[in-house]
Amino acid sequence: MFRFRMSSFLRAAVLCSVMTPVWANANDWPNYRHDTRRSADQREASALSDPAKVHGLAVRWQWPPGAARESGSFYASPIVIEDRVFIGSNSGRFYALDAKTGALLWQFPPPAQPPLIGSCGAVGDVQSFGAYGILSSASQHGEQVIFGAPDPDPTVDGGRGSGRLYALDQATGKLVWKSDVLARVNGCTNGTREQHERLAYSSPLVHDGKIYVGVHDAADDPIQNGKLLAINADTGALLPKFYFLATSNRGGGIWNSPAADGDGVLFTTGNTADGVVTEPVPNRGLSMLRIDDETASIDWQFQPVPFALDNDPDWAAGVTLMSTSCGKISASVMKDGWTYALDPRDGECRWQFPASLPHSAHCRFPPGGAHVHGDTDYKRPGAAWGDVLAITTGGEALVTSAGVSAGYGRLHALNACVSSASKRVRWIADVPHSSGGGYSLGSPTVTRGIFYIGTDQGHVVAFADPSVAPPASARCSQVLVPLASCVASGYSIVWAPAQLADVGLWDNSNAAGLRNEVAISDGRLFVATTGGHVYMLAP
Amino acid sequence: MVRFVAQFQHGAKPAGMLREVCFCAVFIAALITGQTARAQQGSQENTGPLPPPPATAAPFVESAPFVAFKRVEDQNASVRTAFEGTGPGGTKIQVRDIVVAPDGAVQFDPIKGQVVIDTRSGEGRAETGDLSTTLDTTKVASIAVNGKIEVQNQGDVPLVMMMYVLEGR
Repeated sequence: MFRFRMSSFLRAAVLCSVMTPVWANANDWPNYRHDTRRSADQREASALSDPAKVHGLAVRWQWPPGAARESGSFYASPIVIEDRVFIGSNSGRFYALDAKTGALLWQFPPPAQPPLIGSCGAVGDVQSFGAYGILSSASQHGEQVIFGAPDPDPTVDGGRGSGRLYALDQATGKLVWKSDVLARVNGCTNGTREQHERLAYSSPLVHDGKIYVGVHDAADDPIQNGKLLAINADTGALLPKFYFLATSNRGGGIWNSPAADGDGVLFTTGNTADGVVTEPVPNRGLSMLRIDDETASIDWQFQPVPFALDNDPDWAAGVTLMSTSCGKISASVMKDGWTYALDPRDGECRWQFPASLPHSAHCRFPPGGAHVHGDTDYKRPGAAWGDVLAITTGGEALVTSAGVSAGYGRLHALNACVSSASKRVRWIADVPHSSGGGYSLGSPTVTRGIFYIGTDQGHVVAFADPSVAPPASARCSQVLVPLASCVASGYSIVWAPAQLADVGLWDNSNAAGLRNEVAISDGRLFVATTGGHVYMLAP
Repeated sequence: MVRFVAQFQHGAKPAGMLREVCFCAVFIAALITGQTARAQQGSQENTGPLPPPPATAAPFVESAPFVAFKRVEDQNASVRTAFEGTGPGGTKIQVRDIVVAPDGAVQFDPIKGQVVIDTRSGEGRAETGDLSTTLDTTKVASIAVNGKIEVQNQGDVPLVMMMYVLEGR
């Protein structure tokens, strides 16, 4: 009797383990921005969501330890699955670390084999056509991790560094598959019309048995036709039925990580006007889009900056899909500093921040407008926490002569569901130990109202939403207007949130690389630097 | 796992299998319930609008202040001078950032020269003498001024402008 029950229990346990992989690891951080909605929201409670404990935050380990460093830089951020940390470097190597100790578990390719660096460019040059290594975060697919990188195989496009996705076994680091070539490099000469496609900054999206990834170029040399491609998640084979092209010729690169929540795939696109005087037809550039996840047919396209004003305000940040009390919202910021919140069902603009245009404009700038939409640096996606979007954005000062720089170095928390534009700003945090320039902050992450962000001066800073911990002070929602003049000038008085922690990383190097974020998993923070280190912090 | 699947394939006892599947279903239902409870707990977090800071709240201190706006006395508007200089022929050039609150208006001291208004946000109207022009983000207004100029905000967001003032000697 006992034997029967025991075997029955074991069988049931095995069956359950097969059927419930999604819910078993809620503490993990298995994707760039945590999940396929790219919310950057860790909902599991831990010491990191307890304001009383965050004060004790400190570095607990660094990899490589001591004076050693990885030979390249980490522009990607860690993902964390079942106490293993996975991250790739622009050196072309991908690592698995023990989340508790920082010990190296394995690396790919193994040390005796060449790194994932093509011959087009200097090793690790992030602007190279084929030698950029691994610049974006990996994604979980079952027992595998998936990431994009150049292929150095000399039999593939001469080893220049055409891009593929790689699937590795999480436990062993063994290669499970290499995808078909997804980003082609057919020459290495600057200033030509060669094909210089890359998989550099787009983290793969694992969704419904497929893996989606965006293709873009290197410093618009030359500007490439943006693509969103899909492959079979079990084999890496390109799915030819799914093929999104941004334009009829060149432009509209996909520099970010697609998102999904069951109703298609959402992403944003880059510019099309670089060196081109005639608008391509169709022009899917400078847009947020939702496309069908089977056929790539376009459900909707939102293009707030027309071709006539395209001075390269790429949409480099991807979509953050929010589940709010007023429904779903797809939010993102363009490089020029304007943030948009759309209804993901139909692409209708719900609001723009700052609210510069009359309602009748539907958040679309008229072709003859006065605003400057240039190649500036609002390139990081936001973090969604209920109705709150925390994001580095231009802010109300964006429309003054202070221009784009006023929002750098600051984190704005925006109320996504208020109907009045004057109530949009919830709080504004000036992030310490950041240079205040365009690349001074990484992408924010959040757990239960406590926001974490890395800085270019090598710090990790924590802020508490005023509903979680008493705020520090009051300020005007327009940062250039003093408190005393705030309301009379038409702005609102908002909070400056409490800063709970400001921890210096041991190498003092940049924790705000283009795809750096602070991963939150099981009461620990994981962050990487361009100084070639991965850190674990905990209270 | 392989042996388990094989048992299913080669006819394990149906009652036993049913019991295991039922156990599993209950287990998964409990997990889903737990997840839902967690999500509901999350949704109970106060992510709606916050109460505004009280008048007694400590003012935020900028670590590196910009050139701040100053309120135009007794008017619902603020101004800051972004640039001031002298052009050809001694022309006095001034670039001002101006913010006018919704439903507010601002009247400037008399100007004798040319005023160019580049509207960056919102919509409104500028008036001087008998001249009147609409202000919005689609165009730049150039106005010859010989006296006072008044700007009204006719929208529901702050009217933000850059005003270029060119005054001859």
